[in-house]
Amino acid sequence: MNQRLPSDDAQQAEVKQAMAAAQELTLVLAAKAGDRGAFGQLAQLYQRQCAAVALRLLGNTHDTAELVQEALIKAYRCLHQLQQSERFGPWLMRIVTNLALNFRRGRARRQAISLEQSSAGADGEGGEDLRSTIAGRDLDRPEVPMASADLGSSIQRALDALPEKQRLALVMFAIEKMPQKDVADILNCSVEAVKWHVFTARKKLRELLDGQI
Amino acid sequence: MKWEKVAGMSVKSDTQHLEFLISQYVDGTLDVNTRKTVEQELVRNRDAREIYRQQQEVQDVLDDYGNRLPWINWDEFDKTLATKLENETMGSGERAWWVRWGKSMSVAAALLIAVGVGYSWRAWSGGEGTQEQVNMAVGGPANGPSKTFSINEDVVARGAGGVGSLSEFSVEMPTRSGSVVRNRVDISPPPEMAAKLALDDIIKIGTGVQAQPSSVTAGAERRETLVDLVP
Repeated sequence: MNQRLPSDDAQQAEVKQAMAAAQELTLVLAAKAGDRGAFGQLAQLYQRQCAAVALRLLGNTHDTAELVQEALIKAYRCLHQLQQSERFGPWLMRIVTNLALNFRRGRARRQAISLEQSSAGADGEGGEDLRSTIAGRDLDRPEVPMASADLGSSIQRALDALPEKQRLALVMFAIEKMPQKDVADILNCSVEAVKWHVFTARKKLRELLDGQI
Repeated sequence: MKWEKVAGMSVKSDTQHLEFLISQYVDGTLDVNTRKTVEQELVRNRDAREIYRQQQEVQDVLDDYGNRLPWINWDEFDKTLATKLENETMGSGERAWWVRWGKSMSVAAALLIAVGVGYSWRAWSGGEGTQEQVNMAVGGPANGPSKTFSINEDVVARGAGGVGSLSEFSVEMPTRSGSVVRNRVDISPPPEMAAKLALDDIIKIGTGVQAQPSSVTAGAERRETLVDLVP
């Protein structure tokens, strides 16, 4: 009888997870000791997740790639400041979200300035076009397959309209499936607060996407 | 309606609480007992099922959205990152002590400068000066009595166009009955303006010219006293 019990699968998954964590910890310690190769491996482990989160927060691929590079370089520079070496993932993700939020604020300022210049310089049509583009956030259109591009850009617009903490909680937990504890660490709040942010964000998102889902 | 605290926020204890529990059920983050309670509620309560359907629908859309990965050329990305890392040193992101403490130090320096300037101003404006008094007699109107002015030496030395620090001066006027009336005039800062005005006014009084109100503020007390002095 070679029948496998569900508990075997769960155990195997746990063992696999523990091994991955141990391997990651080894890489972090090696990188801390100055091994650039080890840091490169860590970067490869996390870069896709970083890019996914950054994309949901920024809305376009070009800025996303640039921001993830910046985050990884910043992480390398400050790696010696990481107290809990086993928490490299959440620590890196906190750098990504902080940079993304700063980038969004900077972009909002730049857009406001260019809008001012445009409305002051060009009389009429040019300024109006720019205003309508920004209002529709076409500049931020995420790169998604053409078939569902409309729904994708609607979701991105709805995400942009959410309050900061709700957006971050929804992106990291409900979309990127990061553990609630990690999200709580990054947002500097309790796990219960993360659950609440996800709940309210999902509710608002439904209202914002009314008729499209 | 009952309210309870969840994550520091007030939550309605009926529908909203049920919605919150169903949200956690959708996320799979409930403990075993609460999950069973929610499942029982879903079986017997149609509204609960509708809430579940709505939340699951939004989550399905989000799952679909989450499956779309950014189109990044990862090979190129890795090469660029490796090149950039070659030039980086661990610890170079750490800010120097003077950058970390810069803000506090600049505030402290600003306070120190402000105190220094204030103290210097007070000292310079004549609070503790040892200025000698000199007397000068100025001829009055052709047919009137002459007047004696006792003023700060500093003002005389620097002249009307100079920068002096006159803090006070006095005017002695002989009356028709033969007695002498002495009036002391205090002048408030700014001292340079006060000095110039004081000299102007003294000369005007001395020559019998009516003192005119000035647009420069050198102290209301001074003006009133001067007006009183004019015969």
